[in-house]
Amino acid sequence: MTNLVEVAGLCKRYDSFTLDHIDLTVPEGQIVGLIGENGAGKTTTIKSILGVVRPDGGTIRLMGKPSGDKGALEKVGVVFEDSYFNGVLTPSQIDRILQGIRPDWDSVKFRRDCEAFGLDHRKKIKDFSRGMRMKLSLATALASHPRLLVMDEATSGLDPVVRGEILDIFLEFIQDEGCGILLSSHITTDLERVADQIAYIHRGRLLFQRDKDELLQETAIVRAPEALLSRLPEELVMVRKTGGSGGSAALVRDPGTVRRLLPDAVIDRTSIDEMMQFYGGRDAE
Amino acid sequence: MIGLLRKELYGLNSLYQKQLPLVAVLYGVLAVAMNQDFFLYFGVWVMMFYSISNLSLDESCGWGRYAKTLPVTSAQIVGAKFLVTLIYTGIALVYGLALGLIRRMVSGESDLGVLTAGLLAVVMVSLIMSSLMYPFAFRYGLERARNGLLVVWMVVFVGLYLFGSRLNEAVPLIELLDTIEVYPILWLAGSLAVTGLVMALCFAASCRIYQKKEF
Repeated sequence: MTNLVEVAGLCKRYDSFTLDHIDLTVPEGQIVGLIGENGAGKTTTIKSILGVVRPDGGTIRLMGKPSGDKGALEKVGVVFEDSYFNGVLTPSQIDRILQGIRPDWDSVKFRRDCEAFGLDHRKKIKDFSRGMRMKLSLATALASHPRLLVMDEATSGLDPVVRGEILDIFLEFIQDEGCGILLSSHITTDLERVADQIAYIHRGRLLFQRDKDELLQETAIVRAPEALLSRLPEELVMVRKTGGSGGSAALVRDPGTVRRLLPDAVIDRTSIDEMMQFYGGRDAE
Repeated sequence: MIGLLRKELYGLNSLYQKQLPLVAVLYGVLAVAMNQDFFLYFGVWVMMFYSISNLSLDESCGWGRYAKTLPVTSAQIVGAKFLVTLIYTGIALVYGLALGLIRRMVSGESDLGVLTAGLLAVVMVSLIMSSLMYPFAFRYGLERARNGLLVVWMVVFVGLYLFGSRLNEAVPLIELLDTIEVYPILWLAGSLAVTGLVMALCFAASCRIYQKKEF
């Protein structure tokens, strides 16, 4: 399997924040969900991959070429949190603009997608709802037949119906085995639905990038009194959370072994949301 | 490149689609009715400022960040902006000449020389102004660049007001300006060369700033 994106040791330093040696890959045929708290470094990672910001260290390969390479960018569709076109423009004008910018621009596909999304060609972007603007961005990203879609918080602030429609488009896009998606989102239920892999960035560091199903099957939450939890071997405990009304809890790996060791403890399946709460919570150790 | 140029023109035309015809008619009527070429010169100036306002539209919608992800070079992005200013001031020049001709037909005058020279001078000053504005705007944002340049011009004019006579003693500026009528072609060629040089230098600086700019 070829990697569409290969990030190794990516570093980016700001006054109040540092992205610290991020390693990340987006293989062909996969949707990689990028998660993390606000300000964790997801957007900086995406911007670095796309060449919008210059990394201070590490290497980035986009379809085998350096980040920012114009040839590679021809094969990348990008959707940011909101529309990036001037609000006075119409989809028709955007079509003509991108015809003159993107060599693989497919006007017929763009117009067809706009119609399917219910976007009026003559209406100004500023008159579109947020959901419609996101659909327009998506139609714009798809119309150049990209191999890689990069989305930064593309589904945030949208209602479940629109989000569902957009996720269906992602799944349709990924049917082509040569394509891939890097999707950053706070809405972890979306990622649980469509992502193949989860990459978790926490305070500027990549905690893990793992197969989503394996991750969810091989981790669990154990709730028990502190005395009972302390009997667990350290190698099984990923994060420990002390106190709280329900006693202590821990995010653990290998739920089968944990169940054998602590037969009286409550062991629940975990979700990405809960995992984030464990890593990012105030009580996390 | 053509796509970037379309983006600039569509944006400006949509933004000023009501204002532009109104200004064109108003200035035209004022120029003819008041028998004043000033409004035609001012039209060039206004068009230059209209063309620059695309920068604030870009800033408000985050176009710069998206443009960095497109298969275009910084020189193409910056070049489209310089080209739009040329187009807008060029339109104002042609419009000014046409209206100046009409004004002269109405008033029975025949000499277009002063108007042509005046319009060309305003076009060149406008192009120099906008060219100086672009690198600062890419570096500091449009508002700060605009305010910064206003301060620079203020300092220049106050300096000229205070020390103009002393400067004229060192370099006979007034006498030098009088030679325009003697060597008009030389002056035109020299002014065009200076304008071209300033534009080229500012373009190169803008490209360099834009390439390094992070969004």
